[in-house]
Amino acid sequence: MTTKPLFPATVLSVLCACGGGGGTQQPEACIPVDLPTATDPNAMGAVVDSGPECVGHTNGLFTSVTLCEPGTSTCQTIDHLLIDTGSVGVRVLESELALVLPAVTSTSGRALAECTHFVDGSSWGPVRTADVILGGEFAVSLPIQVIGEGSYTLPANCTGTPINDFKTLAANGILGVGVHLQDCGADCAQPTSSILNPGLYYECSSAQTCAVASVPVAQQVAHPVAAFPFDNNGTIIQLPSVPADGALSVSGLLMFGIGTQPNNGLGVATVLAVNGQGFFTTTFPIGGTGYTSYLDSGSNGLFFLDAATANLKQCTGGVKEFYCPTSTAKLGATLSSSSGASTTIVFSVANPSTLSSEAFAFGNLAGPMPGFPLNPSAPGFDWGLPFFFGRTIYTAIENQSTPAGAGPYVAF
Amino acid sequence: MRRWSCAVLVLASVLQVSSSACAALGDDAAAIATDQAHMQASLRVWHQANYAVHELLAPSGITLRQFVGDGGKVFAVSWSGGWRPNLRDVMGAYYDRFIAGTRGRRATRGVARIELPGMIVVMGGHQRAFFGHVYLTDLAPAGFAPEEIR
Repeated sequence: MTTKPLFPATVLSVLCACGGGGGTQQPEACIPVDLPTATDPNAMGAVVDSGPECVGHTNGLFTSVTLCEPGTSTCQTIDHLLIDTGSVGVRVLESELALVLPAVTSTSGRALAECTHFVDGSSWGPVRTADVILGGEFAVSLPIQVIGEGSYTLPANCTGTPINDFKTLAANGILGVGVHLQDCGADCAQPTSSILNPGLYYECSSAQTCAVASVPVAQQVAHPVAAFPFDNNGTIIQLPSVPADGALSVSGLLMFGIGTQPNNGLGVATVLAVNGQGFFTTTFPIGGTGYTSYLDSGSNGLFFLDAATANLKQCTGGVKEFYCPTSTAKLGATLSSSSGASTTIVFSVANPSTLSSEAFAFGNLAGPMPGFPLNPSAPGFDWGLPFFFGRTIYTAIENQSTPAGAGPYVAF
Repeated sequence: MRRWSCAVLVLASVLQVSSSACAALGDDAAAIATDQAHMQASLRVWHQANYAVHELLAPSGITLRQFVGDGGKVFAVSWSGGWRPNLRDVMGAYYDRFIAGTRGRRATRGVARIELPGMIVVMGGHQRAFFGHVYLTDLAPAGFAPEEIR
């Protein structure tokens, strides 16, 4: 693999996909990667590759999901859903969906739709019911979101940059496998008159008329794994290490259940309890200051602190949202939780100019946490997908019992 | 009132396009009292050398801070909590500019720092834990450092 600047091919190909109708720049290397085959029913293949239609993702972890019209054998497999431990629920683009899925309805019988918040924007679309098959496991009649503006007009109060089509999502959907049981929870079940209701769910009386709704948790978009009859207490993401200059693709596994089968035990993994926001503590450097932090497979880099606090140079130009150390920085941190468990890790931050321009998987891509330092409740570390390479990472779902106690926790 | 930030007033602000009754970016600080009532929030105000911080803490646990310059205008807003605020309320007349400037994909996924003419927006977090801020570089007091947005 040649070593060329990262800028023109991968990161810049992402930038070039920005609006304005400019020609989309294909990555130099665009080879579809088949999902690895998993032999156990509680496992399925996962891959880091260029993304669907060679869209040019950096550090996007994907798998395929099979959806069925409830109670039927009319099914469709959709490839390249982004595996995201930072959110919960199955979401597919309406442009990819060939099935007729029934609406999930409000208590007054109206079809539900959702304005789902993500860091980069919001995804709008109806809530539908599907039977969901992941590997050899299935969730019956699961509320999922169909992303798109084709069914219901985007409400004015669904603010944030719209992520409602293939061009903006750059994936066919999202497989949210975070620590929560639903994407919203008790807040969205509050009356619409309550300020506690964040107004994510809507009920629609016509294609143009949707109003904020109060939605019981049973009707909310839910964690698919928690709905399995077995192996339903959490997930495991297992990915190999990648070379220092990156890899064209990486094949690994997404597994279901923690300590429920011979293949999913915790072993010697350190269990870090997380709070209701999914946070634990990262101390950086080792013996230094403690910062609020989280794991998120949906983040494409290690985003932490700022250049001054981390003592790293920030890039300029097209990759200025990343760190550019003169030579690869070897750093250490201690990850710990309120339960007293802790583990010390080492990680690397490379200069993007030393990374392969043909690669899509990088274990050492990092950048500042935008806005750091913020108020004390804002996190200092987002351990994104690079942290997952070379590790087996467990995500235990809230209130589900495991051999290490009930979730929520992360372990590795 | 269903949104933690002045959603009831949004329709009016959208239709009139004039300044919202919410204390959005560029608006007069007098509107913060309206926000406080609608959010059922507690208000704490503290003063720095050449600006004031109005902090609204809502029962939902969401914190909204509005930074007011000596001229009485809101030049920055920060937020943290389980959900992102209604950005149309927060950004006011600048919202459309923000949306127009952020269509399409970005190099980072999971965090965002967006620099637009006269305006910087940063966002981070994940579902059930969002934070961010927006500030107007031209309205900020002289010598104001973005690190002061806390």
